[in-house]
Amino acid sequence: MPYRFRYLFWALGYLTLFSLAVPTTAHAMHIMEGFLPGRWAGFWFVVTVPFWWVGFLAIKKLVREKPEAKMLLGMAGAFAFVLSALKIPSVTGSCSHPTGVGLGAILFGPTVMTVLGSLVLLFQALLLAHGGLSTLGANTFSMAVAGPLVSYGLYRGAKALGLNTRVAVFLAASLGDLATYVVTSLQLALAFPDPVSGLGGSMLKFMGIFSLTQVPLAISEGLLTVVVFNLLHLYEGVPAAGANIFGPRRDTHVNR
Amino acid sequence: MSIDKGGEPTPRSGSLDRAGQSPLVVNLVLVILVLLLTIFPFFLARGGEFAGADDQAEAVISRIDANYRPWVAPLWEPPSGEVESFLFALQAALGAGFVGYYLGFIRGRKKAVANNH
Repeated sequence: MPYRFRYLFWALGYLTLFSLAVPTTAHAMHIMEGFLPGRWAGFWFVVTVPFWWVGFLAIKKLVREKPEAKMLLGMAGAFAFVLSALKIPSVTGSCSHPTGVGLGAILFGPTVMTVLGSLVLLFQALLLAHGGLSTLGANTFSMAVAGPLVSYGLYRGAKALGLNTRVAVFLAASLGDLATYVVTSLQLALAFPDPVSGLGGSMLKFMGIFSLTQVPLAISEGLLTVVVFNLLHLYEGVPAAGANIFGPRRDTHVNR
Repeated sequence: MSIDKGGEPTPRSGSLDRAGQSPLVVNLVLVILVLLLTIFPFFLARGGEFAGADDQAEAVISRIDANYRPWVAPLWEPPSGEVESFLFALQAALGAGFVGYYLGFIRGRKKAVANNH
């Protein structure tokens, strides 16, 4: 048991120390305040609102029916909170950060993370001038709607194909992270189509910035998500197979 | 202890689906991989500025549409890089703190349940 504790300690100590050691130069990611023209900013709010609504209802239902899930819900939010703060150097010589929403999407479904992810974005917009209030709809759509949807879909798909759970978690988290930045590029390209090469050319330019930078980070995010998933599985016995972990659970302790 | 988890076999502590690998050893390997992934850009992109990717996006926007001016400014900006990194560190520490608290909590709970049997 002391051995196990030691590894856990290392993993968490790493997360904390690392977050303090990251070089913080400029901002990294999400669409900056005022950088989407008004009608596009509005458009993405409109697109995002239904997901917020469904997410609120899903959280309300979860908290009512499984009050014991509240802490795990908090942890899914906290995980996104840490990972969004980690601005990690990448192969392109610039920095970006992971999103951390894949874990929660796998545990609770995608729309729950729409709500939690938008809270993270709100914090960063208000206190860090990172992202922005006018672009909150667009950034929520990329990081907290598209990313979790891709993660959730991939996780379910990979499990249906009979892949190993950890492989499924890794694929879901890392590709969900990439999807976020592909969508960010698309949002920028739609608002700023290239006068010569059009939407496609513009998309490629933005993708060139975000996506290549994001590849190693996506891999890191996938690995870190598996680390936390492993610990949840070990200590909580989260059923590895089901995405909907709050089926029959701890309260059924009766049959000891 | 037997906990009904919808037909999933209860994982014995310290063992993964595959026999023989402790999840904690697997985790250690994964964390080392993440560290390597983080360090190798410094060698690969030697001399890079390691600035934020969205500042580059800003540059692309001004190349595509030189007349575009951001129409809203942030309500508040951290007055200095130090304050900004303080807030980022705070964000990470709060998040990591809760993640650690929760993992410690469920670990203790599992042990308590095991000791009751």
